[in-house]
Amino acid sequence: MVVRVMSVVAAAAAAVNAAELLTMSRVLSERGIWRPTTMAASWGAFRVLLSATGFRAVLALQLLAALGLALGGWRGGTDMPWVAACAATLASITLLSAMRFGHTVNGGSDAMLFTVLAGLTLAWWPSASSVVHEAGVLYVAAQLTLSYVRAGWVKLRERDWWTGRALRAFTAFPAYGVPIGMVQAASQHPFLTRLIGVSAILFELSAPLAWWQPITCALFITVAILFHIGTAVIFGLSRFLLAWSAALPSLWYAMVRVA
Amino acid sequence: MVPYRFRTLSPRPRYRLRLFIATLLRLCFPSWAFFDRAGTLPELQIRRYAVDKRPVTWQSALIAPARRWWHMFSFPEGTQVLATQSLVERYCQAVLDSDADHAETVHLQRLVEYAAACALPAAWKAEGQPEASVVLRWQWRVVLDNNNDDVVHESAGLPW
Repeated sequence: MVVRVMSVVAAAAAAVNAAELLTMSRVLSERGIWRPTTMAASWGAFRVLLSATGFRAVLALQLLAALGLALGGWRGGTDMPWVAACAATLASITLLSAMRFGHTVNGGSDAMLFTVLAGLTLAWWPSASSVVHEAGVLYVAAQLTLSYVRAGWVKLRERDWWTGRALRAFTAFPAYGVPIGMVQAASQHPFLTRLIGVSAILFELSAPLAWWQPITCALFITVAILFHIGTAVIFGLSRFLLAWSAALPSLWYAMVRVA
Repeated sequence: MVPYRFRTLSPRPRYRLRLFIATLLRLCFPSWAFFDRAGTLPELQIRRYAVDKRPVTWQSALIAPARRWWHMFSFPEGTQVLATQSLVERYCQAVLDSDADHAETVHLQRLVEYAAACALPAAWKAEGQPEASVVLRWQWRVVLDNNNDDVVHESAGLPW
């Protein structure tokens, strides 16, 4: 059940990513930022796939593969090699998209979606032992836990996160497009930003507790979804919401295996 | 309106397999260190020169558009701004890192200049500039934390 839910959500995330990149074609054109003539020198053997026409075809394939993964997740079952193929294709295209931008499209969300798709490739791998299938999901759970702990740890060491100054700086930064009411609230109520900053640190560092028992796991997953909805609404990190939502069910699987 | 003429750039001779391997490693072993550099976010700014050849005030080049509730699931315009901001951060890191590959820094600088040029029409429109053709020159720069004294790089006056 966990793999099926992860598959459907990851497919949605991959489809949304493909649709977004298709609508961003202007910045990938010769009059945009990541123009082919400037980027192509580092593409090597991937030159054809990353060219303007090639990349559109790749994104169309991404939409098809996402549909396949969603159908596989919805139907369920075992020994379905085409579902593993869809997950592997989507992971490969996530890598190609990152290469197209010369780094990543959207930082950590690319990495988390790649992690989930790589894990799902193993989890759906046909004629493999259950150890391989479990390893795929547990790999996602481990990376997910690490993502929260690492993010919490870097904030823990930053004094500005404890004073609320960091959150005020991020909300005021124009590239995040935080609604003006929230920017004003953050600047007028230092206690509020301090409270939210400390809460974020404690929440992120508490991720390992999700492996402990069903109640802590369910509680953590619920708070995590609310946390990512919050970052999507406030900072516009929409890609993070879907990528992390696809990974979160793996925590339940890990908890069942460990507890 | 006369569009800014992008300079033709020569391709980088190196980095054949390097990009593939570096990207694969980045996706397999991500740092997960989100929002770790509080107060030191680099900001891309642009300004134009007025008809009397005096520069007008610097303004942010990357401003995310207003969001609606459904944008929490998909927001291409916001993703584009965040991807560009990520590019500016990488450029800033390369400039400040004395060990950084010079060719990579130059490559990133070109991309940041493209990003600045792409932001010009919207910035002029927001500024209430009715006719962009009267603008002869413009500039871009990267500053840290909107602190005008902490300039990472400031371009020369560029032709439009």
